[in-house]
Amino acid sequence: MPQYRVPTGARSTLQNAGEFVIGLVVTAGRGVVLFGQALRQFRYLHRNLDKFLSQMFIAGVVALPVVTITALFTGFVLAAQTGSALKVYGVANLALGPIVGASMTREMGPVLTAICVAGFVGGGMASLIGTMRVNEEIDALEVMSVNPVRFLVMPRLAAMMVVMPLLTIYADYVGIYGGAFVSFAQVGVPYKDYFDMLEWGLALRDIVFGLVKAWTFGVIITMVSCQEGYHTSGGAEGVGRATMRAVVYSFLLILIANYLLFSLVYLTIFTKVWN
Amino acid sequence: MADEPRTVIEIQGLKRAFGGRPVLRGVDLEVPEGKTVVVLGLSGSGKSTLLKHIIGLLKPDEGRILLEGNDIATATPKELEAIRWRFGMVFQNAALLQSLSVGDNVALPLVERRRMLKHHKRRHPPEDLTDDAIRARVSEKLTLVGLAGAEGKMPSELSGGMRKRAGLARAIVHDPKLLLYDEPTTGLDPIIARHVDDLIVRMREKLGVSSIVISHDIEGAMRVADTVALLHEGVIIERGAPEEVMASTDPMVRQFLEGKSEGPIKVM
Repeated sequence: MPQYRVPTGARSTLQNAGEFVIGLVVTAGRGVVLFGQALRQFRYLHRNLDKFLSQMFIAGVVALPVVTITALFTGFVLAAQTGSALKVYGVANLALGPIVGASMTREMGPVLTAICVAGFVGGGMASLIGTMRVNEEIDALEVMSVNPVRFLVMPRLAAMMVVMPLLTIYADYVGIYGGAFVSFAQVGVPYKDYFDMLEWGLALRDIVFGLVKAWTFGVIITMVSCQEGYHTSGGAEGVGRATMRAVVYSFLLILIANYLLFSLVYLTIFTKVWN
Repeated sequence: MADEPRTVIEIQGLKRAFGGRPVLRGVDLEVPEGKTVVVLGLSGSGKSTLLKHIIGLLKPDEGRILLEGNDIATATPKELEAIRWRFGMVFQNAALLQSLSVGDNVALPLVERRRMLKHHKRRHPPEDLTDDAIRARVSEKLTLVGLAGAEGKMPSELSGGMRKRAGLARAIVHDPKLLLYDEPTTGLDPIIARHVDDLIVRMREKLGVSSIVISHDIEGAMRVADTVALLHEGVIIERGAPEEVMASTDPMVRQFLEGKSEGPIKVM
């Protein structure tokens, strides 16, 4: 009987894809478990304000320069591309402000901020906690009767729940003002028209929805990164792998959550409550 | 017998397998109060697994680990937290938190305990957990291990031996009943290694603490042990006072003690 074998190259590609998907599901599952454990530790938050504040500072300061540049150029490109199309129909003065505003607050602000934070802050969390794991520092905490979730994860989660919406508000502002500059300098829409129409056309529900997304992304980034760090094994190489996985899985889960939040939350709750 | 010392920890029939492969196959061990037991064994003999069971990081498939009568194997997380307060552990690489100074590392168990006591409505921390008392205790323990005045240094500024001593100061800062040492002399030069051995003896003499030392350093074991137990393939094949073990005629024990590659223990 002839033997039909899957070519080695194809099998390994399939295996890799399968392993990747399994890894993503395992990460998400472990993240949910760790999220539950961290929430239970929130009752000790007021006793750990020092750690909470220092984590807020770390997350905010590390991400701020990247968020600024990302948001600024996103505002630029939104205004330039949309503006050139709207000019053809002669409605740039009317529509440019609301379009840039809605795009920034509902989509670009939260998603791009989350991507920046996942890379900088999430990667940092995974590598730090992963290094602590391989150096037995986490075991040492447990032996000292210090709950590692309370000591390491809970303050980071609480900090990100506050920092992500704040960074997103900041990114929204930077993007909208960047858009205003390009609208004026490149498209020829005066600042007054841009901001008047923005004020008229920008819905509060878009801003709030953007912040809900930002908060959710903050939770995803923290849980994915902390759990990847927490389950690190295999020395320095393991820390590298954990950091890489934390960033990649955060990106993917942010994009998946972004779609699910729009479909399941925005289209149902937000459009019904805010008409 | 009335004057026989009390047993601090008693391990009975400890069994554990990973993925169907038995690592511990029925370990029995006890540590009398104020005594030091050294568990010697080759790499892969189950020493680290045994230690992780003692501190409750792993749960056994069978058997009991009794710390003053409380079974660690069946303790709830909350009970485990209380049981662990009676332990101090010196990790192989000291496991100092790299982001904290030596002083903060040593103070950490006390500071975190104070947080928890405050939270559970005991608004005034006990006298020995005020800032001044913690500082005094940290300084006392650092002096005891020969690191007086090192509070402000960062772990990265310390040599391997100093790091290990700082780890020891952290392990004894809350006056534990039982000290666990994981390979205390591995990676140290012979002089520092003997110095660490002296410290282990000094802890017993000054603090009256009971100890379990996991090691493969035969010379060190003979210097610090009241009892030596030889672990091989998950069972204790020999135990006794250091001189008794040294005089053993068991071929496996002889091969281990003499460090021969030929013999009943197959290394390849």
